[in-house]
Amino acid sequence: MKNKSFLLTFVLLLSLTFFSADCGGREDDDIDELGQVDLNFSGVFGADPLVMLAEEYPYEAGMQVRFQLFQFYISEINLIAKDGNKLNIGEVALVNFENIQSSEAASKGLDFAFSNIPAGEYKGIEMGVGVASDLNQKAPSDYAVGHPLAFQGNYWSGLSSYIFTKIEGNADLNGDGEFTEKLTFHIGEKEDVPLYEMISLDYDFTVSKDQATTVPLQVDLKQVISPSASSFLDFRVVSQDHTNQASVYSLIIDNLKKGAISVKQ
Amino acid sequence: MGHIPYAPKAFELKEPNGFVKMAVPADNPLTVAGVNLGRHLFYDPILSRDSTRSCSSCHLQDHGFSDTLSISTGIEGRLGKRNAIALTNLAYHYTNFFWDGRAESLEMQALVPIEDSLEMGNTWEEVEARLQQHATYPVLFRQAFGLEHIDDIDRGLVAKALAQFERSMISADAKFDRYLAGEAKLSEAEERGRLIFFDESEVLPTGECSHCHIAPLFTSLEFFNNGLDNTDRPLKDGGKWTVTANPFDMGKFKTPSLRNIALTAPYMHDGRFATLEEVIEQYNQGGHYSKNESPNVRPLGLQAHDKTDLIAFLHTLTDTSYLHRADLSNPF
Repeated sequence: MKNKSFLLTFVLLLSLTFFSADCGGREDDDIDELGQVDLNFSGVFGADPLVMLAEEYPYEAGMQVRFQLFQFYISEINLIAKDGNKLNIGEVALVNFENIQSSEAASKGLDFAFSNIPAGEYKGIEMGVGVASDLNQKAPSDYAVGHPLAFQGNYWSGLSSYIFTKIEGNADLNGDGEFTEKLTFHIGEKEDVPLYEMISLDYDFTVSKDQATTVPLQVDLKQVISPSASSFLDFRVVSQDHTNQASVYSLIIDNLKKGAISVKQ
Repeated sequence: MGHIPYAPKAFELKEPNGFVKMAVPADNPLTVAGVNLGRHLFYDPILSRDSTRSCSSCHLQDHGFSDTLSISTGIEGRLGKRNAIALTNLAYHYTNFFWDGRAESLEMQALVPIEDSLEMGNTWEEVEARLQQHATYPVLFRQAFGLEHIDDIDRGLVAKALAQFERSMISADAKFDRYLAGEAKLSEAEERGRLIFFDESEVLPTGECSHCHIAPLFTSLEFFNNGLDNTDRPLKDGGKWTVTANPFDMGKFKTPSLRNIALTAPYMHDGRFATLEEVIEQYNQGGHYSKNESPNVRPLGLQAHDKTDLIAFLHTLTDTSYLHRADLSNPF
């Protein structure tokens, strides 16, 4: 799965020209002061680390669930400077927990390194959940191998959309320890189903010259599929969706955008 | 060998529409002479210990560069371990070669069969000596790589030449490709099969095929447990597990391309299924449950006519021009 690791660590370099235009007011000699920002995504399922295959989690209505894959795209990744200016640091990345198969791996999380970040004070980060509209007009054939959007498996040619998020696993429907119910939820856009949305997270941090600063982010899969006892994916009723049941894909994508991603405390 | 002209000319490889940009290593660009050398090596039994087996012994052009055996055989009729995987569009397989992914590049893959006792059973030292002493190969190596000395012919260059030839094996002229280009029309059965294959109908059952067999390569290049066996216990052939030792990789194999699938029977890594009908019935049943079985393998509810139509679609992936391309044929 080294190819996946490569996708996960896709790095986009900033242009100094872009920075100067976007973060006006800095002295020219400040441009030489560049550091690195590492976005670290930790996955959890409620209070527990999110581990693929090796862990089973209690679920609503006496069910249990085990995961094999959880991934989602983020686009238009911006840092927000203290003065409110936005600094674009990345076009798109794939956050993929598929290879997080131990508690040790879960504690490390997934790192995305962005270099050439101007030193200074920042107060937050924003990103789009999914694939930005202009990028979603493209297709894997527009990219070279290794780019996060080059992977055919994350693209629906019939719908001309990338698959924004995938959740796959197994459920034990009645608590008997048999995880025989297969779960596959693949959510992408359709012409009449716009799903992309920006989210913003407050976080004060400093980027120093030649130093790496980690922005710790957390993704709670329980918040995505089971935010409350009255609102959850009921695997007894639905075990699969390819963006054709509004009640299913709306719940997943809305929850992913609203609260499932946070700054790790 | 300085008297032999060395004038490398780039091999013009036409990339098909809709394919991801090709990944060719910077240190092994395709040249006309390099591809030609690789073609000769591919078809030459000189690589095997007893000079009876070549790459083409198990990768027959008539069969989409696969063979007709469940398990391929090597020198002296030795039974191998797995089915010969069909060679198609390998320039896009940027990593994870073999059913278990143990080779990271085509170049690394090409090194392996020569010394495998169940395949060619040779040693690289012997192969290098044979090629250095050969009447024509030194010239071909000089033309391909600009060698100054015969002694420079080595396994690394053999692997590079084979990889160049294999990267030239592009198949993108099946009826399905012409359909996508608006140059062909699918029959009613083929179109119905297409909708089932790609899960594109709200009315027809879903085949769930395209999660792993993704167009245009018809493989995701990933590894899955597709439900053939119970992998919660050790298997005789653990697939990717044999490389990673990760228990969650037990029974996972690389998803093969379905291009020319109608010509590459028998099917699966061990050739257990003789026909496409058997393959589809396996998936229709949903496979054997195991912890790491892909959740995309689930009971499909396909009826007889659904299966027939699905097979009709699979036949549209046959690229007859690929089977008859002179530049891919035996040069001897």
